[in-house]
Amino acid sequence: MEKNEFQDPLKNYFEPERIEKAPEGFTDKIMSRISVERSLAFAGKKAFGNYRVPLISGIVTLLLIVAAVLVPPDQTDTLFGSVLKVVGSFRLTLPEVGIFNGVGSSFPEWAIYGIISFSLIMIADRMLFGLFHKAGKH
Amino acid sequence: MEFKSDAYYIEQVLEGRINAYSHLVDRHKDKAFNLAFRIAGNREEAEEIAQDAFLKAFRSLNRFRKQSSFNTWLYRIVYNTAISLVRSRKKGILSVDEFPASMIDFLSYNANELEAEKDYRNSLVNFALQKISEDERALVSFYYYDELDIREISDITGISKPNIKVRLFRSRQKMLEIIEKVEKKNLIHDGKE
Repeated sequence: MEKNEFQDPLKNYFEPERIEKAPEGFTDKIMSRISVERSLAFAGKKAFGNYRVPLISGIVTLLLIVAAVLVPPDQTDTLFGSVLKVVGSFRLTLPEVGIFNGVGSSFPEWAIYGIISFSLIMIADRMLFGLFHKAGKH
Repeated sequence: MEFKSDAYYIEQVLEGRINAYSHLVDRHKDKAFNLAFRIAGNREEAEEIAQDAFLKAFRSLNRFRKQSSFNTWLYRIVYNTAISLVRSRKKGILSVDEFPASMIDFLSYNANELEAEKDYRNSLVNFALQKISEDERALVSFYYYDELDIREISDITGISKPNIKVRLFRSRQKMLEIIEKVEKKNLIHDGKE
């Protein structure tokens, strides 16, 4: 059924040049909608970027609290209980820390472990901050 | 002003120069609007459809494969947007008696008879279009207004070529029947005056 293949009486009613034209300001309306959409998307992205670190931190803290409340340490019949049991069976032997021996300090041993742990956490924190800060710049 | 292809403006938009999209809109807005109008049947919905289609096209411009022309791709979006909107609307079908009475007397009021005749025929076609299904309206619009061939219509709508031929044949029959009824009614109307 190619065009002009047969006499098409309906064709007489159509005038392709008389198409319905888009109203005045049509292009401007579309461009405004695009601008609004883009600025909203950008604002959303920016807001998430600003609150990303505290948000992730909050979620992780919440998960830890929920886990601590919902999984009692003596419970062994759940998956968490099994994991806790396995972890508990490890014999954690901490190295003997003798850095203050020479200066004759009377520092308690737990304080030394505390200082080392705190230092490690600080280093991890600075590394993560650097990572997120760098990502935020892009 | 130097002519730039659609592909050039698409590249510009993808590189972040959003204003280049206005050239694409300007170039294709009338044809997109006309298709939306033929399917929806009124200017308000046609504008809504055409705007939504251009926005959808903008959002997915990075997914536009240059295998087809931008025109064909945009038409596909307009067609799908219009069909979904019209289907969700589920408007009742008009009866022949609902043909605008003002159009019946149009010839006698218009000074330029040739223009009046054209306006009358245009209204008659629009009216008949509203009496067929939205799919058929789109096919008729592609075939008679855009003068696309069956292969191009198939590319846009995703309907097979034999199926398009059958649907076009049925639409043509239905529309001619409606037009004949309206014209017969108009002759009776003119005879009474």
